[in-house]
Amino acid sequence: MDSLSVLVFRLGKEWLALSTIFIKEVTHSKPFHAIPHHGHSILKGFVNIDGEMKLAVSLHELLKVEPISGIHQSNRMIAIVNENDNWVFPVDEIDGIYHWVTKEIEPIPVGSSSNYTKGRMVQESKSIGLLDEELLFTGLKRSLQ
Amino acid sequence: MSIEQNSIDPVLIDLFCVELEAQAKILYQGLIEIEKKQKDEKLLESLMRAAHSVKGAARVVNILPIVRLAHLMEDCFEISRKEQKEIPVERVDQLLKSIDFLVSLSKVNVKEIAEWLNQQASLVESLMEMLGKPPEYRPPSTSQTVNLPPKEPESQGLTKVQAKDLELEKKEKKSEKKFEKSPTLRISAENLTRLMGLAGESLVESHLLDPFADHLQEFKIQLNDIEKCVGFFKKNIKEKDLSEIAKHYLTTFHRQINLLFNQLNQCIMKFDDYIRRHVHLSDQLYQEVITSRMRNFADGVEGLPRVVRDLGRELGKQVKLEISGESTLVDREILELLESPLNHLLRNAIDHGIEFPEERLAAGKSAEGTIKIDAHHYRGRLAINVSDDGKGVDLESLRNKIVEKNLVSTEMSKQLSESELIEFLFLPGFSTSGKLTEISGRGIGLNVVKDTLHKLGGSIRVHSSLGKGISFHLQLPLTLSVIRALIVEISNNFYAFPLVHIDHALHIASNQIQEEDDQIFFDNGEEKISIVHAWKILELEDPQHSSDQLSVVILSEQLKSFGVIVDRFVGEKELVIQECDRQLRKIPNISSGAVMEDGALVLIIDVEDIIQSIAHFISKGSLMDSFKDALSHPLRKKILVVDDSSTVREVESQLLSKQGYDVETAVNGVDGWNALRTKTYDMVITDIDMPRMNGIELLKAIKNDPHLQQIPVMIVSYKEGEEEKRKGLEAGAANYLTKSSFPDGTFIKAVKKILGGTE
Repeated sequence: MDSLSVLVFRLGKEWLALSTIFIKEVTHSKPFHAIPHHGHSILKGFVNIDGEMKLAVSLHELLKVEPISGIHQSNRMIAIVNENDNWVFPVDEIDGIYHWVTKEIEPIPVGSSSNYTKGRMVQESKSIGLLDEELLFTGLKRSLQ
Repeated sequence: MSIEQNSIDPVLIDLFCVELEAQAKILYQGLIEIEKKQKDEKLLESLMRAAHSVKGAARVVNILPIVRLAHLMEDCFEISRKEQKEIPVERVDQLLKSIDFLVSLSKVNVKEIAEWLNQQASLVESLMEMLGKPPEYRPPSTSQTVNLPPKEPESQGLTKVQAKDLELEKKEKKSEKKFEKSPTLRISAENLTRLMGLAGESLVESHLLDPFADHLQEFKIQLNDIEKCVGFFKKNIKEKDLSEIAKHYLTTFHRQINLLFNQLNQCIMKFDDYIRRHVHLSDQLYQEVITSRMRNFADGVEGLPRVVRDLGRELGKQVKLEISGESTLVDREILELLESPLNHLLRNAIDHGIEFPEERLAAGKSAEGTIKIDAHHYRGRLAINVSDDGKGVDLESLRNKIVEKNLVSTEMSKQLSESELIEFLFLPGFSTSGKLTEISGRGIGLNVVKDTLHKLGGSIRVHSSLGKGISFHLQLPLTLSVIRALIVEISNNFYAFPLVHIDHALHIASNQIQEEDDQIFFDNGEEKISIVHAWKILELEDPQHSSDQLSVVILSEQLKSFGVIVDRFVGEKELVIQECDRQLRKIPNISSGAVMEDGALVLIIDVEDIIQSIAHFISKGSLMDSFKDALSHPLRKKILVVDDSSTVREVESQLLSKQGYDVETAVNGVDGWNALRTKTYDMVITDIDMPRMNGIELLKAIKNDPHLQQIPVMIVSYKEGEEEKRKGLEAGAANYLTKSSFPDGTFIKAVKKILGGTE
């Protein structure tokens, strides 16, 4: 594929992108319902998306991104899906959907210590990390154990 | 003749399986009927058509064995029709077996069909062989009497049997206007769940329109006030104090305000109308989607006539099954869960209830026993009756049995009424049958039936008439997807207790609470009930809720009652259930979840579970399998096992956990690398040959990372060469073992050496 459609968003100081194939929707923040017996840092609870109960997680926690205090946080959440796995996480800012030319994405070698990203793209003087969806989804699944 | 998977078109196969299922149904029904209505032309033709369709479909997908099998089946029906011969009962057995085979074929995963068919090759061969030969007479397996075919009654009962047959014929002609099934559509469970979610959300959103309407009303009122102001202004100002221009603007102003007011009024009326229509529509959509979970009762009892026929044959009894209320709507989940209890009841009826043909004739009954199953809605519940015209329950022998088993003293037993006596039949391990047959007598059946019903929120009653028969009355909720529950608040979230499982809810003044040995009680006049905080049992945050009154929900099981303290009661609601454990493991004490009409989430308490948890908490002072406890095992060493073979992962995990280590697994190098970056491990055990990132690369990555380099890595590989070993050790492995080291303890020894035991 020559181009990749991605949704660009910010967590803390980091700009990230995820292929739109996995994006179900972007919604306003909603209250979470705590999950009994789970004193979890990544799993935040249940949230109502389109009338169904979905799992809410903190991608900040998973990717170990520091929240920035003082900067106004948006009240948006992104709902992602991969086959039968659904996850919802709050984000600090939504930029928008872009079409990236695959050739121009800088690959990140496997085994380096960058977090869950498989590529990098510079756009409007922002360095945006392209999330590796396979790592992301397995990482999220693993965090449930 | 083996079949190739890639000669099979996956799309066509899918359609083929759907067709098989449909034709199999027709064949089953037809075969059961043909035994009673032999040589019926129309029936034979429909059976032939069904077999012919299977043959044709099998040809399209090119599965020759099925083509041949279906052809032989078609032949059987053809012969019967052409030569006006009856299909012998043994042949019917064979045909039923063949259909069983077709049904199992229709359920096989499309990708595995070729493999499955090849495995079943010998079965298919034997089926075809049987059908190709003239049928052998095979007596039923437990023949206490010779199976009397219905057309040869003993002369003594001749007139009675004939008269009954005539009556039946008349009845059948009347009910020939049989229940017609409306066309159905297949829809995946996920699709339905999404529809339910969206319909529910749509209803929630439509209710949000009301506040808008209210706001508009407020505007109207304010506008009205402004208009009044203008009016007063005009009244209180003297005309001569106003210039012409001022007068002009004042009039315009007044006029505009009035115009605006009227327009707003119109707008509000239209909006109100719109809201009404919208809410009505969403409501209907919602109700319709919920109803779509319903199926006809007929769908759930399709297999029963066959069961009755086979059992009758095996036990040497003549039984027929009559089903009524086929069009009664039943929740699809309940229908599925009913299969087992209904089967149990049928088995019991045929084994214990219905007598042998001679016994029946001697008692003045028809040789053939009848079991009736009926389903209908009654007072908002689903009522199902299963009755037989057998010999009923011998209450006296039951009474004796109860005393025999020391369940009750002889004195007491004499005072028990019929219904109390019959209750004993539902105890586990209770059976009045003298012998144990394969089918019943273990005394398990009725107990399971009661249990299943209770879990569904239903009940069962029994009526017996000695010599005349027994009938079971089952009562069930109409749908499982909707329950009535008491909504409460616990730690700032909503939770629900299904009404059918709670005793009652009440407020207790704090001065009514007593403390004894660290436990909290309250005395309700009859007994001391232990009470606990819900947030403690559920391991939630302390809501820091204080008040003079406690809101308590009383739960009970058998003889014990417990009280659960919640923050406050919210109210009673009907909830549409959603499962919440698709991705998460089952949450202890929680059964499912729901979305309320304002969009808020609520978790539904699993009352059975929570009672266990409470009992444990009270007696041990701590929680069972506390999640937090499991987390805080800081002294247990954590090992990450990385291997792309699930067998190896399993073996290594087992060996290590037995030694007391905490084990987690990863499926390849990248997965392992990822795991290392999210959690801390004390050791890594990895294979070498893995996709995406092999063991050596993973090892190097670990050693190059300042945060991870001190974690010992052990390699366990199939590769036994010296060269491989050297490479591994050079890259920084703490040890290199081969997979043959599992059985002889070398593996564990090596791990212990590196980690130094389990502390």
